[in-house]
Amino acid sequence: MNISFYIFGALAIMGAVMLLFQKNPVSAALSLLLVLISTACIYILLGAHLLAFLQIILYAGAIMVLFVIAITIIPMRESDLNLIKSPIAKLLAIPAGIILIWELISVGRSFNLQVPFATSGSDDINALSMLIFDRFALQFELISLLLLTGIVGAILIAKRRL
Amino acid sequence: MLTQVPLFLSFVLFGIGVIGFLLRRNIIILLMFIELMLNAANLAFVSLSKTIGDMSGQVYVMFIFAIAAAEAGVGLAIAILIYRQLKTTDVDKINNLRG
Repeated sequence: MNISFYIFGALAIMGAVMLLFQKNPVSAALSLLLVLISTACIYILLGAHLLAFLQIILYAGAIMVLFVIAITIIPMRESDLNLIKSPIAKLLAIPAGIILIWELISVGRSFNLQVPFATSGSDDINALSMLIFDRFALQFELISLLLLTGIVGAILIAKRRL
Repeated sequence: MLTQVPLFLSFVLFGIGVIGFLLRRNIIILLMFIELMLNAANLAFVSLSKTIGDMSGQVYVMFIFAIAAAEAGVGLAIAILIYRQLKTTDVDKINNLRG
């Protein structure tokens, strides 16, 4: 259990670092896919099986396909895929990120939260659906409105002529 | 078995997402880093929901899935529109507002 967690965590970080320095946009999309699938495996190790499969179907399936389609319709020059030009931004980005990680980890360490690994079985999906349709019913409906707005907005923005 | 490592993993992924967002200049790659940061937030939600034994964290993760899908759809539509108008995907060259 422990070893597999470290393996998938290392895979996720490796995919993220590959995404950072990948020149080819399709390779970048595949690195992101590696991160998403490793995260799904970690969800399984934590016992959140439903979320793991939703992650694979929605993120790794639907959203990544959207990205790959966008990559195929937009022709990209080699120069667009380099790092940013401004030298100050180049110099400061990595220290800023490392300081952010260090801050977050020191705050997390001070709370000393212990995450339990699932030893067997999955979460109670009944309880989860009761929560969605009872306590979070209003938010659930608002999410459906948001998705509708997203569909209409995406079509309106990308359409050539109305 | 108890450990603190899943939270730290989510922090590291979020930090790498921030670094990439500041460092890259292709608009589609920037959207990918936004997805990476949302994914890290999801991992933190799941680990904390497991820690305190409350399922509502997992409901929030489902909401974040929906929001990420909407965001990716609209964001990529904007990227396509920008390419059609300006013939570029480089965020350094998109400076019509003289920013």
